[in-house]
Amino acid sequence: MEDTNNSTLSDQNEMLRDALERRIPRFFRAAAGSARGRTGREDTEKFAEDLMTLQECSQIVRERLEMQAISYALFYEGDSAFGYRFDPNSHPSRPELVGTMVNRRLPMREMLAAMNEFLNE
Amino acid sequence: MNIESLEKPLQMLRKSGTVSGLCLARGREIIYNLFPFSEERVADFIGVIDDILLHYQGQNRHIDQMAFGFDGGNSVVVADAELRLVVFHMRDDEVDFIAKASRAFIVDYQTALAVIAMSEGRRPGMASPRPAVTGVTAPVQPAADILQPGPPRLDPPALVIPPVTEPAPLEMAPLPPVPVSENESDFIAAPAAPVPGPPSLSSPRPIPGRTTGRVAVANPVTRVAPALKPLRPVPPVAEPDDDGLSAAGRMAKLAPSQPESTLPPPRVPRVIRKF
Repeated sequence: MEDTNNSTLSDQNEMLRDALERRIPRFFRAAAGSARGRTGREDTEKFAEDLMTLQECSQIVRERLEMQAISYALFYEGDSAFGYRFDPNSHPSRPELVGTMVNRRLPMREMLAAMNEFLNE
Repeated sequence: MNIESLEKPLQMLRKSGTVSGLCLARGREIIYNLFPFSEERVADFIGVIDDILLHYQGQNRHIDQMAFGFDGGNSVVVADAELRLVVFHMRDDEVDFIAKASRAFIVDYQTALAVIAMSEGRRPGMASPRPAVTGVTAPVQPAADILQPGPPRLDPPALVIPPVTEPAPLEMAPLPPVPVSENESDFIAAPAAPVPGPPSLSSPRPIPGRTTGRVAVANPVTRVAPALKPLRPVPPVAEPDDDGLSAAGRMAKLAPSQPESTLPPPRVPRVIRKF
């Protein structure tokens, strides 16, 4: 997941480099089939690919459990974590979501809280 | 592995926090299910979890924990190798606590299985063939990686739970009718039918007082009747009178000195004369 660790830091976005060094979450926004981020095109594309799989997995699990609307999905992969959550203030016909990726196993509760803070910014 | 050692920690986890259900599975095989859903639904859900993890494994990505949040609840999946513990809970801020407890259980469970496998003299993981999964292909490990020397891989073996079989019904041999007599001297030895039983129950030593194929009373118990008390004489029944009624059916006779009635005599109304 965290291929950005292997690339040279000089080619990376300033914010991405800072986030990887400090191991803080990088945030993204997605709506209407497009994702936006501040950590560079490559990092945003990586998030967009992960988001597609995450949303599909959440949808399948929701159907199997016969649950209501999806709120969030968070995954741990080795020493990194990624996930997303829907913006509850967005319009149901045009849902928006916020995603995050971090190169450490940030507690999921803190990931949710960080995404909530990012939503309220 | 004892089923109690598996059941107790899972029951404790089931009762903790806002947990409302959990399921332990190996791949698609459900080992222990405490979900309040039907078996088909749980099996379908476990199959989806397995598909998701295999999908990521196909991309050489190893997801070991997943959390999904819905309006009606949350579910967290803790995976280690082929073991998956899926916990359904209500509050999303409990996800780390539940995941930590689930991880601790899986580690303990795998350790116990590895110890059992090694104590039985087999390599851990040999008795855990992965059930075939159609539609999803797991990444094939190159032969060169397999041949490289390294520490033995500690795959958890399959939980071997002996199938529960109902005990065989007791075979009862019909006994021939035995004449019954109240007199002690009339006791006879009745032929006993052979009782089929496990060989471990057969005693090599002869039982004193027992003959082969026949039952004899070794020490018959005699009951002594208690001494009877002399009976009180029954009063004679009164002879009926001339009119055919006994004394009990007639009015009792009064003593000569007893008045006929204990009631005071009726008062005579006083007559007031007016002059």
